[in-house]
Amino acid sequence: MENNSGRRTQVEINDVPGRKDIKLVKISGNLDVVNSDPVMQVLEFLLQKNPGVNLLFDMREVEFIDSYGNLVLIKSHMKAKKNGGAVKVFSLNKNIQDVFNIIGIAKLIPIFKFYEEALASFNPA
Amino acid sequence: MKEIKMVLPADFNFVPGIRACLAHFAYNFGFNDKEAYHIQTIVDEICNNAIEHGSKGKDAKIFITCRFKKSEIELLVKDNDGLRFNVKDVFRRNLELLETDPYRRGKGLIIVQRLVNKLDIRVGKNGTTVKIIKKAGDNGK
Repeated sequence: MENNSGRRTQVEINDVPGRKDIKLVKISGNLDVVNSDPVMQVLEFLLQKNPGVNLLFDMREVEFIDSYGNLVLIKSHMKAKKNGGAVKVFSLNKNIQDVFNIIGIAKLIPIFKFYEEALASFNPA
Repeated sequence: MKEIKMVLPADFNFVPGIRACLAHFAYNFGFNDKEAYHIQTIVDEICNNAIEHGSKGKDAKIFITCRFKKSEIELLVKDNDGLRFNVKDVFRRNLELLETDPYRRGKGLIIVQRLVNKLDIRVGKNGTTVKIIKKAGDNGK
């Protein structure tokens, strides 16, 4: 079981080659009550500086998300949508996706298995 | 049955360690990877509620009792100075939020309810105690 290795949560933001309208947000570690606020601050700044941007979350290294962490994704979705952007997620581990289905996040935020299919799902720039 | 008792400061910084600890123990009592993750979620949501809505003040604490037997975990989390609330009302509001307002937080108890076999909440003058039982092998239901 690879949960809660104790490593720090990290957020890495990168451009997507050929797509100035999409930012790739990679989160590693836990997204929970302890660190959701600082992560949200980073995302709010990103959305403020790039109105209309789409966010593609790389969740390969996310180990645990609680309801505070879920709210980070939901708020990002809400704020991006206000300016015509979208939020999508890929490579979510099955355990996390299970809980996402219970609370209905999957109805708001599209979840993909792989980066390529997630990228292809965005409207052309 | 093996029992663990813990008294923690009512401080969110302790929650990640507790949820990981209890989930790891559960692994050794017949729970699979998915169920151990559910236990992390359950412990996290209940402890967060106890801290957010319960124990207040400089020396506030939460009290955790966890009992393990083969393929079953029983968890009690108690705060020591909680808000008085009507349990049925809270569940009703949680369910409404789930259906009508995905943007708001406040669905923790519903998540817990869906992941456990039994959930019991007692609101008393000395605080609120949340008790759950989860059995291995049927993913809570």
